[in-house]
Amino acid sequence: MIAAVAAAEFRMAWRDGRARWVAALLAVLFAASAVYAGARWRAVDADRRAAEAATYAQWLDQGEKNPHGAAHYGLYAFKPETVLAYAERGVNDHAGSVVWLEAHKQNRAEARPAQDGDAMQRFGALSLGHALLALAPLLVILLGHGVWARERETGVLRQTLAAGAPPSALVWGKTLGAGATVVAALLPAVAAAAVAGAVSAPGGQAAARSLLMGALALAAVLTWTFLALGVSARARTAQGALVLLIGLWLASVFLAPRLVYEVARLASAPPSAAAVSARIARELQADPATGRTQKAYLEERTQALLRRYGVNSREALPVNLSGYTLNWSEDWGDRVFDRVWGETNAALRGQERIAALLGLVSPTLPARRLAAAAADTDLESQMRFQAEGERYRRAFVRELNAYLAAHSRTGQRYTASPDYWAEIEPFTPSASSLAQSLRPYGVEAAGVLMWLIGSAAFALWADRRVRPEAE
Amino acid sequence: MSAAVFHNEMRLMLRAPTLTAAVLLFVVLAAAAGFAGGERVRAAGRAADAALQAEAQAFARYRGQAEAARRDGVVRQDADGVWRLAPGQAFGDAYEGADAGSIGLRRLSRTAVLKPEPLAAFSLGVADLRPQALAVSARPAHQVFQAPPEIDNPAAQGVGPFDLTFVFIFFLPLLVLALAYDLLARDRESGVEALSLAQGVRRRDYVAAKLAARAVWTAAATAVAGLGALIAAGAAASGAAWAALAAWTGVALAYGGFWLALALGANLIFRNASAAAAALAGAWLVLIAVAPPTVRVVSETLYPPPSRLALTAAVRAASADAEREAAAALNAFLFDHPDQARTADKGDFYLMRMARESAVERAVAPAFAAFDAARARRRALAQRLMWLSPALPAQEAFDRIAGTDPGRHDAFLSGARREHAAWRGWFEDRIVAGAALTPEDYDTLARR
Repeated sequence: MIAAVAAAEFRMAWRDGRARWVAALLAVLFAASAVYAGARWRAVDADRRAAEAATYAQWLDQGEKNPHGAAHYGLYAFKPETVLAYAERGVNDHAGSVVWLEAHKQNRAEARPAQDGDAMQRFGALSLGHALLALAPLLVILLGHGVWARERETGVLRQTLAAGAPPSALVWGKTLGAGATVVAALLPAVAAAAVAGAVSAPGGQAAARSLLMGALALAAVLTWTFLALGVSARARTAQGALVLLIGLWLASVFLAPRLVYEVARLASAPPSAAAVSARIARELQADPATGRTQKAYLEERTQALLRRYGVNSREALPVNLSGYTLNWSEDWGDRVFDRVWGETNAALRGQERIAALLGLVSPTLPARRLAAAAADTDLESQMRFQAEGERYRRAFVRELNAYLAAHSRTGQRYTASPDYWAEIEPFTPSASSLAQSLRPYGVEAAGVLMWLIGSAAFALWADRRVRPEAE
Repeated sequence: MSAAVFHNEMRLMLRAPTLTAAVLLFVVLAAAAGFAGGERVRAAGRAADAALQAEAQAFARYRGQAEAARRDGVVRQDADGVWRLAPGQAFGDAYEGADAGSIGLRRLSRTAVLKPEPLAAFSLGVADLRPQALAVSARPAHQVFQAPPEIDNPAAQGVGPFDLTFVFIFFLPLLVLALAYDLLARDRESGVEALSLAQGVRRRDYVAAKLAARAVWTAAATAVAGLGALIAAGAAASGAAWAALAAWTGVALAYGGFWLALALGANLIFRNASAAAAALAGAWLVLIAVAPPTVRVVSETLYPPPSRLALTAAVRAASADAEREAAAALNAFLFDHPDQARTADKGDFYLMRMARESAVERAVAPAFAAFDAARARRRALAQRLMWLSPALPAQEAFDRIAGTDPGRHDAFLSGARREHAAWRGWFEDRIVAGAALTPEDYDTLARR
C-alpha cells in the first residue's frame, strides 16, 4: 500500500507542469554553475600557479644583494583553491588570496575579486552550494505544498480514506513519494557535485568533503520536504501552504543570513584600518603596558650580547650586530602584530560565534556555513592561511637576518651570493584535514540536525492529525 | 477611472489585516536597514576622523621639528633664500621635520576621504569593497592606490549587506505582488467584475481604478519606508537629503511600477488568481533570485575578471627590472634603512630613492593600465546585461543616489590621483633642490 501511494504521488508530481519546469530550470542552473565552477577554477588556479612560479623565480633572480634588502623585497604567499571553492564561495570573493611577506610588516591579504566587481555581485554567486542549499528547497516546496492540502481541497483525501486506505500508509507513502520526486529532480545536481569533487584534490580528502556537501544538500532537501509536508497537512488550502512555505524560504535564504550578520557586526565590530595602523605604529615605538620603548629594548639586547661575547664595544663583536638588531626588532614587531591583529581577529571570530548562534533560526545558514568549512572557504580557513603565511614570513626574515649576522662583521653593505636565495624554500601551505576544517562548527552541525529532526517530528505530528476537512 | 471602484478598493485593502501587516513588516525592515546603514556610515566617519586627526598631529609634530631646525641653526638660508641643511649638521630624529625626503617619502601623507552622500546609509554599494579614505603621500602611485579596504568580516560580506537597497529590491516586489496578484482575477472568479461592469462602469475605468488603488498603497508604503529609514539612519535632514530621498522614492516607484505592470499582465493572461500568483512568484524568483547571479556568470564567462594574481606577478616583474639597475648603483640595504646608513648626505639617498621609485612607477604603469582596461570592458558588458533584470538597474540607481556606486569611487580615485601627482611633484622639487622643509612649507601643505 505504501509503495502504491508513493508511486501515485511520484506520478502526480511529475504530471504537474510547474514542477517539471522548475526541475528543468534547476537542472540548467546546476549544470551552468558546475560548468562555471570548473572553468573559473581552472583559470584562477592557472593564474595562481603562474604567479607563484613567477614571483619565486624573481626571488631567485635577485642577484647579489644584502640579505636584509632581500627580506624587504620579500616573497608572496598564495592561497590555493580547490574546485570545491567554486561550489561554495564562502569568503573567497571578499578575502584576499595573496599576502606580500616582507621584513618588519604583517601585511593584509590582497587580491579580492569583489573589489573589482559591480552591483550584480550583491545578488550572490551562482554556485552549486547556492543551487543545492538555497534554490533546491524551492523545488521541494513547489512539489510538496499541495501533497495533503490539494487532496483535501479536491475531496480526493476523503475518498481515499473512505476507500479504506490506512492513514499510516498514506503518511509514509506520501513522504516517500515526495522524497523520490525530489531526489529524481535533483539527480543532475548530485552528479555535478560528484564530478566537481572528483576533479578536486584538497589533501586527499576531496571525496569526504564532496560527500559532506552532498549530505548537507540531502539534509536541506529532507528538512524542506518535511516542512512542506507538515505545513501542507495543517494549511487550509494549498495556496495558503505555498505562501507560508515561500515566506519561510525567503526569510531563511535571503533575510536571515543578512540580518544575523548585521547584528553580529553591530555586536562585535573590528577596529578600523586607520586605528589598527596607528596603534601598530605607536606600539612599535613603545609597549603601552610597560612604557618600555623598542629603542631601550634593542639596547638591552645589545648589552646582553656584548656580555655574552665578553667584549666592551660593538666593533669588537665577532658577529654582525645589525643582523641581531634586525631580528630583535622583528621579535618586538611580532609581539605587536600578535596583539593587534589577534584582537582584530578575535572581533571577527566574535561575529562568527554570534552568526552561528543566531543562524539557528534558519535551516539554510548553518548548512551554508558548514558547506563553506567543507570547501575551505570559511573565515577560519582564511585565518589559517594568513597565520601560516605569517609563520613562514617570520621564519625566512629571521633566517636572512641571521645569515647577515653570521656572514659579516659590520655588514650593512654585505651582499649575499645569488645562490643563497634558493635556500629559502617557497611557501607551501599545508592542506587542512576535514576534521580540522569542521572543528569550529559544532553549533552549525547541531543546527542542521536540529532542523532535520525538528522538521521530521513536525511533519509526523501534522500528518498524523490530517483530516479530510480543513479545521 | 471609476472613483467608486477606487474608494471601494481602498476600503477593502485597509480592512485586510494581512496587507496591513505586510506593509508594516516592510516599513519595519526598511527602518532596521536604515539604522544598520546609519551605523556603518557613522563607523566610517569615525575611522576617517581618526585618520584626519592622526594626520593633523603628524603635521603639528613635524612642523614643530622644522621650526626647531631653523631655531637651532640646523638649517640655514642660502643666497637664493632656500633653506638647506647647514654644513656639519644632520637632521636626525629631532629635526626630521625639516628633511623633505624623509617627510615626503616616509612620514607624511594627506588623507583623501570620499565624503558620504546624504543617503549613504541606504545603500552599501562598493563602500565596503573599496577604501573610502586614502593616505596620499609622495610615495609612488602603485603603493598609494593599492591600499586595502576597511577591515571587515569577509564571511559577512559574502552573505551580502542588509541595507535599504536589499529591502527594496527583494521585498518591495513581494509587497506589490501581495497587493496586486489578484488584481482582476479574484473579482472575475467571484463574479464581482461582471456585476461592476453591468452597472455601467467601463472596463478600462474599472481596471484603472483597481490599479490606481494599489499604486497609491505602493507609493505610500515606499514613501513611509524611505522616510522611516532616513529617520532610523539618523541622516541630517538637509535639502540635499530631501532631494536624494525624492530621487530614491522615484526609482522605487518606477521599480514597484514594473511589478505592478507585471501583476496586471498576469491578471490579463491568467483566468484565476492562483495561476496568476504562481506566475508572478515564478517571475520574482527568476528576475530577483536567479537572473542577477546568472547574468554575473555570463559576463564573467564572456569577459573573465582581470586577474589580480597575474597583476601581482606582472607588477613584481616590472618593478624588479626597474630596481635592478638602481640596486646595482646603490646598496639596497640603504634604501630601506637610511637611519642606519653611514652616509653624510641623506639628501642624495632620498634623491636616489625617488628616482628609483619613479622608475618603478613608470615600469608598472602598463600592467595597471591593462588591468583597469580589462575591468572597464567587463563593467561595460555588465552595464549592457543589467537590463535583463529590473533588480540590476534598480540596484545601480540606488547606489548612485547613495553615492556608493563604482563610478563615484572611480571619480574619487581620479581626484586622489591628481592630488597625489601634485603632492609628489611638490616634494620632488624640494628633494631635487636639496631644500629643507620650513614651517611655512607645512602651512602651504596644510592649505592644499
